Amino acid sequence: MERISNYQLFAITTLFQTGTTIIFGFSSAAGRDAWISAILSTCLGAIMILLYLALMRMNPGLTLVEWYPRQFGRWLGTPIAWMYPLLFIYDAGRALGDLRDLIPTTILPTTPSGVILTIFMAVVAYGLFCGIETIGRLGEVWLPALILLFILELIFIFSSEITHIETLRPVAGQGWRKIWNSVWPLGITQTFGETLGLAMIWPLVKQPEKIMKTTIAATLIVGFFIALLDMVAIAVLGEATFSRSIYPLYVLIQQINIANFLQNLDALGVMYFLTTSFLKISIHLFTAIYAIQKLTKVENCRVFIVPVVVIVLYLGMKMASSVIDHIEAGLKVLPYNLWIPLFLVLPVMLFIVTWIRQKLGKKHKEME
Amino acid sequence: MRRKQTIGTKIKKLLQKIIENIMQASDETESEFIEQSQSMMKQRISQNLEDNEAFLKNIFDKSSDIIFRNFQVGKNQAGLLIFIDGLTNSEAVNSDVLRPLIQYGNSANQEEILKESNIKNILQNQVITTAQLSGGKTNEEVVKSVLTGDVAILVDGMGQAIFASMRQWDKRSVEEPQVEPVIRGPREGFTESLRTNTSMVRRRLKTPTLKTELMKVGRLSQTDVVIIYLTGICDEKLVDEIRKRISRIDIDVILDSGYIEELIEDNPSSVFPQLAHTERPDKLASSLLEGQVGIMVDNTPFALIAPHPFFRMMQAPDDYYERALGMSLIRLLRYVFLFIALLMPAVYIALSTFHQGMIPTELLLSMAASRENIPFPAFIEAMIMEIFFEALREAGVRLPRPVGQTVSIVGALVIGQAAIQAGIVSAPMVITVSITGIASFTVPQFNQAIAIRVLRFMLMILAGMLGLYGVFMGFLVILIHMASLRSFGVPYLSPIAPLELSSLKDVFIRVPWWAMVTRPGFTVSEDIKRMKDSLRPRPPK
Amino acid sequence: MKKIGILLLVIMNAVLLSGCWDRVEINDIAIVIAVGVDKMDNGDICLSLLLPVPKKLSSSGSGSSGGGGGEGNGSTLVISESGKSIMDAYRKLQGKLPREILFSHIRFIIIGEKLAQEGVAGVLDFFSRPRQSNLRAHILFTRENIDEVLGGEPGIEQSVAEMIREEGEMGIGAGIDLKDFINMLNEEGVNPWAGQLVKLPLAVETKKNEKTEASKPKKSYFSIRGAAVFDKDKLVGWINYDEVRGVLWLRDEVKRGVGAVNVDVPEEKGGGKMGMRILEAKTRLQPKINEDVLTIHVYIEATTVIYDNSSKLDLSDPKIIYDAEKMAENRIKGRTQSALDKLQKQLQSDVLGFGTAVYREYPKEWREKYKDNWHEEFPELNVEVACKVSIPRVGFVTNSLTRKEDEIIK
Repeated sequence: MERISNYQLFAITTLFQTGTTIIFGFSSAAGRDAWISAILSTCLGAIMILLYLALMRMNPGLTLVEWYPRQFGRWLGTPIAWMYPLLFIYDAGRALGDLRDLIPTTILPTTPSGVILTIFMAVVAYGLFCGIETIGRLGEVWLPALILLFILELIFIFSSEITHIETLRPVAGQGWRKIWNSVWPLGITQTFGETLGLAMIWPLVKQPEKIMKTTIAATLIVGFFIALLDMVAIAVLGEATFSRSIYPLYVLIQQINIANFLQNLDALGVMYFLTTSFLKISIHLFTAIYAIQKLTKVENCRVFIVPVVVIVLYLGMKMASSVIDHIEAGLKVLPYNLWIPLFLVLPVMLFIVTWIRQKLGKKHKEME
Repeated sequence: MRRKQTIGTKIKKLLQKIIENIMQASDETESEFIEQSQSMMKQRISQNLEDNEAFLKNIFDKSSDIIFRNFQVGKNQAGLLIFIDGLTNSEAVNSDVLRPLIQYGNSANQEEILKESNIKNILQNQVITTAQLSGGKTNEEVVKSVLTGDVAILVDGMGQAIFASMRQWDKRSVEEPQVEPVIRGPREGFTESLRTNTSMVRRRLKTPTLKTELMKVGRLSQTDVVIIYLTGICDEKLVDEIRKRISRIDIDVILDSGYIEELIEDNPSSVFPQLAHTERPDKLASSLLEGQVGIMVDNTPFALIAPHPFFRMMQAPDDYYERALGMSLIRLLRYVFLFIALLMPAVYIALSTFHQGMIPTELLLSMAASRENIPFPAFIEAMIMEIFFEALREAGVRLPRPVGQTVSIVGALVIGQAAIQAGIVSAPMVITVSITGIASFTVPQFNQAIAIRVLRFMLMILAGMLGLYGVFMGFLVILIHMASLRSFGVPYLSPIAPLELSSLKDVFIRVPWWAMVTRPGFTVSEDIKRMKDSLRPRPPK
Repeated sequence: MKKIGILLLVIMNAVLLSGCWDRVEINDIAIVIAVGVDKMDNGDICLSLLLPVPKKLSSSGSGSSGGGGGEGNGSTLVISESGKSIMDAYRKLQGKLPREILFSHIRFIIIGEKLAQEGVAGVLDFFSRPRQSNLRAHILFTRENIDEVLGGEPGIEQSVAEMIREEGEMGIGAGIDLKDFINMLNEEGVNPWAGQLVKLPLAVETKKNEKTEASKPKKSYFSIRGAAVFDKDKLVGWINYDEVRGVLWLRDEVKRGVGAVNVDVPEEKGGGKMGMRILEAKTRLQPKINEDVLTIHVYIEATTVIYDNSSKLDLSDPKIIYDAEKMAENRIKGRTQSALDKLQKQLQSDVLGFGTAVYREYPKEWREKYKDNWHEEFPELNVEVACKVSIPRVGFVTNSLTRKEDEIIK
């Protein structure tokens, strides 16, 4: 069995949570208070992730899809467990849909999206064939590279003399209601709820006792990072452009201009995006395939790779008729219908059931 | 690894069957001959010298360089010397073997020595004055040792043979390494002689823990292959693995260590070499000290080093001999140029034909001015120039040395300048190609540089089709491939992925020697510490 | 085995499926470096593009083209077309040009007075939406003929676009780029403003020149001197150079090391002039609500260094330096006051961001009280300007060259 190291888990978690946020910005709906909403979401998200981690501790050595059958019983648990791989596949399709919209708007306007996405998914499939170990190592290589690029980007932005810190004021000028609206449910579920998928990978980590620390650390760092990016973006672009843009952080990178030479670094933005969305889709699909393998009890999970990749490709191409539709679905439909039940309600129920069963089990033992 | 899966294994099995069939077929035709001679070879040496001589003359048929020298030990006891002219020191044969033997035969008390039982002992102890002597009892042994350059001594009635080792042949003297020159550091390089080479390593590591295991590989060549490593520093499992892989080799001839390299790699279909080669004894010694294993092959100055992950290729021997700060910066420079060598033409194509918006305005205007009359698309232009450059480089290697320089001057300067003036290629393209060319020379390991050059063309094609998206996807595939690759069990991207913080001191920078307390190696098993702590020089108090 | 298979698949995909849809060679694009938009008399929109002609840009010698070139107007080309909308005009222009138009490298956008008066939102949208948008382009307004501006004399630069961009970045006038303009348009409590391009003679007319160069046609060039003031996206008026300086002071946009303060020394102190260069300048807006009355306190702090001194003041005397500081303060106050007068009373447009300052300080009051009728509040606003100038250095010498011992005013 392939195993991943603790640091690899950290890298995967960080990049997975950062995901597409790196280009879409975090809750730009909150205007200049987006950064507050990022920090709030992180705190609440971390609590939610703590819940997942507690579940993992209660079911040692088991993956996400094995928790439910074990606690709820086979007949109730298995159908619930089946919803997760399907959700992951759907989420991967959505991430691919983001790509379908971004690449033409930024670097290749007339190339058919079919070509772009097929190539992308072929590379994803290659990564999946190489296994989780390889994906973990990729994350390990990328994380420092991305951090380095990010620091460089910050330096570039500050030396372009385009930041106006006072743009961040007033704090919560339009009331906390607006901030809260972007925190709940979207902020928490989208970025942090999806971390539940990593519960498929947790049993593969070499030092299980460190998973909790690593995951929480990664979550907090991601939260800080997103808040910082949001702040910089607002300080540079101003509230108007920030909340008007579909890809605010991409526009942010476009603003860099040092000595009239170092400019138009759009490629950097696209690279960020491709990197993180590659990892996000790969992890989504790995967890989905691994979950299917666990549920069907098939020896070799590689037989699922090609069909799953084809399904995701189809989903990515046909997901929504336009960008606006796509984003609308992400903001309004998904959180309430899919993410809240699957990422919050069911885990909480599972937690309660598990807790009660363990209490009862203990009492049972004591009675004996 | 579970990756090897249905289709892969099926094809493999099929191939194996085919190969077996072919082998069987050839065996049948030769079987008669082989059976006959093999049964003869296995036989013991006969008491009768004439039988032996007839047999050996039959075996060494039509071989002008094999010398049979008959002589008489005493009055009627015949003897025979067999050796190969050119592999043996003939003066020593005369003075140390032949003369004592004949003189001994003429001396007074010869009757007692000619008894069968102790004939060998007496010859060995009292007559032959060569240092290395051994004995053999079958015909096969005689043939083999003669072929390796020993002098075989047969005496009538002895029933066995004595081999005197007097190998000496003409060999190149120790010279400065041609492929891996350094500015500061030892200037001797390996030669084609295995013993000279092992001695060079032995001179650097005067410790009994330096082991040199000998293996013979090659059905016809019987090439000596030495696995060299330091016990206690090197992982024993690694040595076992290498031993196993080498002993698996069944090939007719090994002409260079490259044969071995390709036959023991982890992933033969990868563009990346998974073993390093070197002709520097100091480099080999330092690799051994970092837990790697050397494989030295006779008749070639190139020794192999395994395992060899990617980041090792950026380390040059000079890095460790010059001052740390300067060499660290130079090493960082190498990384920059590694990326340039890999990406620059591809990025140029992508930017100039897909993303003109990303080029700074002034640069774009001057590029536009110089590209105005160029007939080719940028992609074709780049391909032509790159192929031209590669050809130029190849010509430089192949041509006799004095001509080589002319070619480079004519090729690079005259043709390049003329092409620009004629408006066939644009000046920025020539600049790009030249910088790329220079950049690929900064990679210290030549075989790794070849991999970079191959991948560069792949990326250029992708860039010509999909712009930066293609370049990025290509780069991603390369990265995934590298992340999944292993070199003798060591992940190819280590110590970056999987991360090993303590080894980072010798990857992007080279820390000063006094800070390199632990071995930077990845295969170290026990002896981690390389020096005492706190060796940092300080002014006296 | 599998890996190569997939690798091959990727490459095959690329080879078979792609037809290089987006590939355009550099010699097949027309790089636009400046854009002009105006409204014609018949209501159509006129779009003008400034294009460099690559074959004439011979400075980066591709040996073959040899000498000549660089002869001013020859290296750029102005092309224009009119249409019902800006998109319509663009499509017609693309039909006119044999090469694909690339907008990514626009250095500035210049908009005529007529169009500006009717609203610029549509134009801004056209230039900020597509991927080729360049939000760093300067936005300028002019009363002159757009084609004349674009076809103007580039002076020492290679093109007009370059010349005007450099000037915009110098920071003497109003250097507003597209992003700033859009932000001001969308931000609460501030109206946009942008630089005005005016025509100036190239050489100052002295008597001598008049005689010798009378026969030659007078050369002129364009420079960012005044500014256009907007209410929302509609032009409401122009302000002149001095007022622009005042606005820059109030908006905290005086750039370090560039701006200058010239002080007239009053007669009782001996008369003459003194020039100072601004080393550092910082402006802070501090709104205060006192018993329902809103007052904006403006604190300006500046550090200057004396550059020339033709007065009789003895600069080795600390007291005189103190006086000089006071004079500079008055000068800056005067500048800001004239700008304030014009903006508050005449144009009635808050380009200074006072509203934003209120919003930042009192978000609640702003939303409840001022937001909706800021247009009426602004002209009546109390503004208190406080200025502090310090002169830490006087240059290499203390006193002016011409002064004599007895003339020093102590």
